[in-house]
Amino acid sequence: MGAKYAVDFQRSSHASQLTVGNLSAPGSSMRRVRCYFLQLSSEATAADNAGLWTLQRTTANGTRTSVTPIPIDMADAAAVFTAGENHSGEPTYTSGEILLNTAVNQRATYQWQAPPGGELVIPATANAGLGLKLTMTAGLTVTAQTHCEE
Amino acid sequence: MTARRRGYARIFDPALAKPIEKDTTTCNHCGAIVHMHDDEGRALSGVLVHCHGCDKHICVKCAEVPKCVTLERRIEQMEASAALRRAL
Repeated sequence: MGAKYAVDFQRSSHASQLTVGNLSAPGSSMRRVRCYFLQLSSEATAADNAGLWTLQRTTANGTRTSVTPIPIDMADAAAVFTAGENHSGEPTYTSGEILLNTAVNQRATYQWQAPPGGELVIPATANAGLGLKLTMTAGLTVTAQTHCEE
Repeated sequence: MTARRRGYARIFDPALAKPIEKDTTTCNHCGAIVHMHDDEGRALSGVLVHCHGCDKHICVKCAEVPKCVTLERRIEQMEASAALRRAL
């Protein structure tokens, strides 16, 4: 069994689709990553705002603020995969490779738990990854969290 | 047929007395998360197709492709082609 990590993404929403965060394999010494938990939410003052979250495969990270994956077991070493949030330059998304597309109202919180063997897999390929995008009324702080195994 | 690989999704909406819960399945070809129920808890029909190639469930989009390429196989191909590019 591999080491498990928690990754937290945050950004201010935008009316056009923008990336909240992404996970990716590094440029070398890659390992497969399996994501088994995902949570999408907003900590902005409760209001009715429609939102569309999309999880899609990526091949390049874009320009982002780095996020350090936190080992769930503190005895584990630092993660090899990388993560980032609050992109100023969008990642390169693979056309058609959408793994989740779900509409969630700003008031609501969405959680997904993978079945054993049904995790979202990032291949051990340089810079391959997953990006999480959101369309929602501008200016609302949104948070996403994922747990992954490496 | 092999057992279905079921995960679950929950939506916590303060306007509702209890969370919306849905079973989910991961497509064995592309890895997409497929919700098995609508927000009212009714089972959705036609969101999954049985693939006779891998004997697993796949999403409707992958069912349109007349070839069985499992997610594991696709990931192996991606890793192999990346390794080949590095070697050149």
